[in-house]
Amino acid sequence: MTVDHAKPKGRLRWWVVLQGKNVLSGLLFIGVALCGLWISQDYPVGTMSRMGTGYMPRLLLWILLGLGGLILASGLWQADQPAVTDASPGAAWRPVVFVTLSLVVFGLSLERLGLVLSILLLTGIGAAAGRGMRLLETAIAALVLVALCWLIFIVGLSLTIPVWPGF
Amino acid sequence: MRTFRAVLLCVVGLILGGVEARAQSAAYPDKPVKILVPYAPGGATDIVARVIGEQMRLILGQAVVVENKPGANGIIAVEEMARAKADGHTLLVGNVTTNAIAPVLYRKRYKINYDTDVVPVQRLVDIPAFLLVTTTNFPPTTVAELIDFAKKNPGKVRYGTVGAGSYPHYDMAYFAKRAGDLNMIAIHNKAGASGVINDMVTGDTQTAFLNVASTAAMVRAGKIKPLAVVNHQRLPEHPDVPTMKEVGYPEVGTLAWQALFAPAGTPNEVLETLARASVAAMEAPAAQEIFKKQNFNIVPNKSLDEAKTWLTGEMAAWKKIADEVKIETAE
Amino acid sequence: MELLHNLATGFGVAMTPLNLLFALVGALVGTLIGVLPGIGPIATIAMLLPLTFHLEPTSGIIMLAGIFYGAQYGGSTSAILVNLPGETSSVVTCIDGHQMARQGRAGTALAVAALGSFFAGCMSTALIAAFAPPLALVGQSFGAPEYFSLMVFGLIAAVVLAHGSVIKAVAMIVLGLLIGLVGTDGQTGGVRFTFGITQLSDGIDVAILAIGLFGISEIITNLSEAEEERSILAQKITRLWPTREDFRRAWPAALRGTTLGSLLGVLPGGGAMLSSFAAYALEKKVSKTPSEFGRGAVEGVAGPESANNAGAQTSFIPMLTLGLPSNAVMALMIGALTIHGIQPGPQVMTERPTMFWGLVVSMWIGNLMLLVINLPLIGVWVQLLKVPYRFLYLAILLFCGVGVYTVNNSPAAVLLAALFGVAGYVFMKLDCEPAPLILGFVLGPLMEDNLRRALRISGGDPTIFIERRISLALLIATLLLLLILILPFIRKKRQEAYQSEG
Repeated sequence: MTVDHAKPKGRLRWWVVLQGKNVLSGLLFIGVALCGLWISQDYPVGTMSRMGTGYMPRLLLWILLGLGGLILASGLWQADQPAVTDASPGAAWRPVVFVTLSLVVFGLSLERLGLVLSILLLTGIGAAAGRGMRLLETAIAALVLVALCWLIFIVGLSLTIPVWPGF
Repeated sequence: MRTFRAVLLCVVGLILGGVEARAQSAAYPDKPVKILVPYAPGGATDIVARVIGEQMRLILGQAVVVENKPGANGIIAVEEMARAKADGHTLLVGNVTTNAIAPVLYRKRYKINYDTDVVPVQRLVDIPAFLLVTTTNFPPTTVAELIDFAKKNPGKVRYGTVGAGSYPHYDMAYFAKRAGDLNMIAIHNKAGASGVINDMVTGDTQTAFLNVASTAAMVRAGKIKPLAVVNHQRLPEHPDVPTMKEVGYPEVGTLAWQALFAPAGTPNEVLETLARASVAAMEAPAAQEIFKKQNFNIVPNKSLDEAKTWLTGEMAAWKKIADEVKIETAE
Repeated sequence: MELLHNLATGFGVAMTPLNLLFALVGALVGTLIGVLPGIGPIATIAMLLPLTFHLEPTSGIIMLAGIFYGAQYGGSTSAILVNLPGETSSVVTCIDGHQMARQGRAGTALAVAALGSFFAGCMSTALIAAFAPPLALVGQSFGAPEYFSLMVFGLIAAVVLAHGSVIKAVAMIVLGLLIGLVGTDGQTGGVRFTFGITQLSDGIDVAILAIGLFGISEIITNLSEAEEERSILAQKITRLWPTREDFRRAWPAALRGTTLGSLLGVLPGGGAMLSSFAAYALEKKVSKTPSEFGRGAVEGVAGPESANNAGAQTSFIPMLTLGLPSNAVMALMIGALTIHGIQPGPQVMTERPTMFWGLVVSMWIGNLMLLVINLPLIGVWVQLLKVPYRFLYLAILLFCGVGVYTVNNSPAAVLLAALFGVAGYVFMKLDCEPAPLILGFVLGPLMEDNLRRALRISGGDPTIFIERRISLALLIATLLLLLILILPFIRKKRQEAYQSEG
C-alpha cells in the first residue's frame, strides 16, 4: 500500500488491470446481475404493498448491479489492488476440470450403474485432478473406498442407493 | 492416460454387470419392490407408504424399499416411476396433490403424458379435514356465522393455506365462491400445516381447511375450533362437528387421499397381485391400528377398472374446480 | 419441588438399561451421520422410523432425539478437519475451526467444539426442564412481521461475518439472497430462475450449496496449490487439549452462544443454523481482537458450536409443548409419535409426564455420552489428517457426492454441488467470502416470504412493522447495530480528514 494513488491509469496495461481481484469480482457481480435482469424481465413485479413474483428478485438484482459497479470502480481506482495469481501458472485448470467432471459423472452414473461402479468412475477421474497419483495406488484407494462406502452407507445406514446396475 | 485406463476398467465392469441381467420369466415379484414417495420423509404420504410397504413385504415375500423423491408437486417422483420398467418393481404412493391436482394444473411441466403413462393400482386411504376457525379474538363458532361475519367484514377475514395453488387454498377459495363470493384474503405459509396452525393461534389468520390428524392436539387444547368436517360422515371423536354436506356445501373441501400407482403397461396379473396385496396390507392389524389413530379411512377400490374410473373422476372434479375458482398462479 | 419430582420421574425413565442403550445408539448414529456431509438427521431418522413402530414410544423418541443432537456434535468434526460442513449448522465452524486445524490446532478446535456443545446441551436441557411452556410462548408471539424484522436484523449482522472488504461481503449477501429465491414463489406459485429444470422448482437445499462452496471448492483450492503449500494440512499437530488461555477465551463465548442458541432454537424455521451465524457475528463484535477472526480464533468455534447445539435442544420445545414442529426433524418426530397414537400438543406434559421428562433427562444423559464418545475420538480424527492428501481428497470428494445425492435422492443435486464447487473456487480466488452468501441464502426466502405475508395481513400497510411491539424492538436493535457498524468508519474518516488538513 504505497502512495501510488496518483499514478495515471493510462500507464497500466489493460490485462494487468483485468487481473485485479476487485475488477474481476466487480465484473462478475455485474455479469450475474445483468443475466438475472434479463431472465427475470417477464416476471410480474406488482406494487410495494402487493409484490409480485419479480419484485424482490429484480430489486436485489439492481442492488447487485450497483454493488458490482462500486466494486469495479474501486478496483480501477486502486491501481495497487491485489491480483489473482497462481502458484504455478496453468496449475488451476486441472483440479477444476477433473474435480467437476468426476462429480458430474458420479451424479449421472449413480442411479444407472450403481454405487460400486460410480465410485470407481469418481476415483478414476478424480485421481487425474491431483498430481503424483500412481495407477496402482488409485486402484487400491478405489477399492478401499468401495468397501468403506458399502459398509457405511449400505450396511450401516441402509440408504436406498442401488449398489449394482439395475436392468 | 491413467484416467483413461481407469475409465476402461469401469467400462469392462459395466459390461460384466450387464451379462448378469436376469431372466424375465420368474414369478412376480422376483426382486425387491421399490415404492417411490413424492415427499420428504415424515409426512402422511411417507407414513402410509412405509406402513403399507412393511406389510406388503410380509405378503409378497420380497423386500419393499421406500425411496423419497421429493419436489415439484410430485412431478419428479411421478416421472421417474412412469419411466421405470413396467414390471411392477417400481411403484409410487401418491396423494391428491401429486396425482390429481398437479397433473391438471401443471400439465405443461410434465415430460411424460400423465394420462397414458401412469395407472392407478389401488386407492388406499382417505384423510378427513376440518374447516377450522381460531379462538383468538374471533366470534364465529358455526359455518353460518363464519359466512355471515365474512359478508359483514369484507377483506377482513384471512385464511391460511400451505401455498398458492395448494388444495387448502382451492378449498377455501371454492367455499368463498359458493357461500356468495365472500371477500377473504389468502395468507400462505410454506411451513405446512403447523405454520398455518401457528398463524391461526397468533391471530394472523382466522380460518383454514386442514387435515384432522395434524390439528387434533390444538383442537383439544381449545386454541382452534372445528366448524365442520370434510368426510362422508361425522368423526366418532367429534360427534358434534357436522359434515360439510350437513351444513349445505357437499362439494366443498378436499377429502385428501393416498393411492398406489404403477407405470402404464405393467402386466394385468401383476397389477392384480399388487391390488390384492395392498388391500391385505391395509387390513393387517398393525396397519389398521396406525391408520385409525391418524383418522385415516381405508377405502379400497373393488377392481382395477374401478380404480381408473375413480382417478378420472377425481381429475375431472379438479378440472372443474380449477376452472371455476381461477386462482391466479403461474401457468 | 415439583421440578425435582418431575426430574426424578425422568431419571426413572431415562436410566432404565434399555433407554440408556437407545440413547447411546442414537448418539453414536448421530455422531456418524453428523461427520458425513449431506446425510442429515432427517434421512437417518426416516430410515429408522419403521424400527420405532415396534418400540415403546419413549424409547423410540429418545433414540431419534439422540440422532438429532448427536449430529450437531459430529457436524463440527468434518468442518474443522477438512472444511466440509457435516451439518448445515456447522457452516460457520468452517471459518475459524478449519483455520485452527491448518495451524496444527485441530485437536484444540475439536475439544472446544465438543466441550462447548456439551455445556450448551446441559444448559439448554435445564432450560427446557424449567421453562418449556413460557419459552414456547416466545415462538408463538412471532408472526410474519416479527420474522421479517428479525431477518433484517440478521442481514445487518451478517456484514460482521466478513473479515475482508465490507462492500464485497454485502454483494455476496445479496447474491445469496438471490440464490435463495430460486424455485417456486410461495405467495403466487410463480417459478423463478429455474431454467426450466424441474429439480430446481422447489429451490436449492442449503446442504448442497454449503458442501459445494466449502467442501468441494476447498479440494480444488488445495489441489491447485503447490505441493509445499498444501502440506500445511499435514503440519505437526502440537497438542490435543486446549490451553488455559483457550479455556479463558472460550467459556464466555460458549455462554453467549448458548443463550443465543436457546432463544433462536425456539423459533420455527432453522433456528439452529441461524443461531450459529448469530453467535459468530456476536463473538466477532464483542472480541477485543476481531482481526483474529477468520484466522483461527477459538471463540469463533466455541460460540457457534454452543449455539447450534443449544438451538437443537430447545427446538424440541415447540414440538413438545404445542405440537408444532420448528424444523423438518421435529416434524418427523411428530410423525413418529402420532404413529404411536400420541398427539404432541399442549397436553403432552400433563398427559404423558413419563415421556416428556424421560426425554428431557435422556437429552442430558445423551449429551454426557456424546462428550465421552467425542473426546477420545479427537485423537483418532486428528490421525486422519496424516493420511496423504492425495488419498484424503478422493474420500472427501466421494463422501460429498454421496451426501449431496442423499439430501433429496437426486442426481441433479450432485451436478449442482459441482457447479457450486467451481463457483466457490472462483470466489476464493477473488477474495469473496462464502459465509455471508450462505447466510443471505438462508435468510432470503424467509425474509421475502414474511415481508409479503405481513403486507397481505395488514392489507398493504407497512406500519404493521412498527405497530407490533416485538417487531419494533427488533427494528430499533437493527438501527443500533447499524450505528455501531458505521460509527468506527465515520470516526476513521474524520480522523483521516483531520490529519490531511493538519
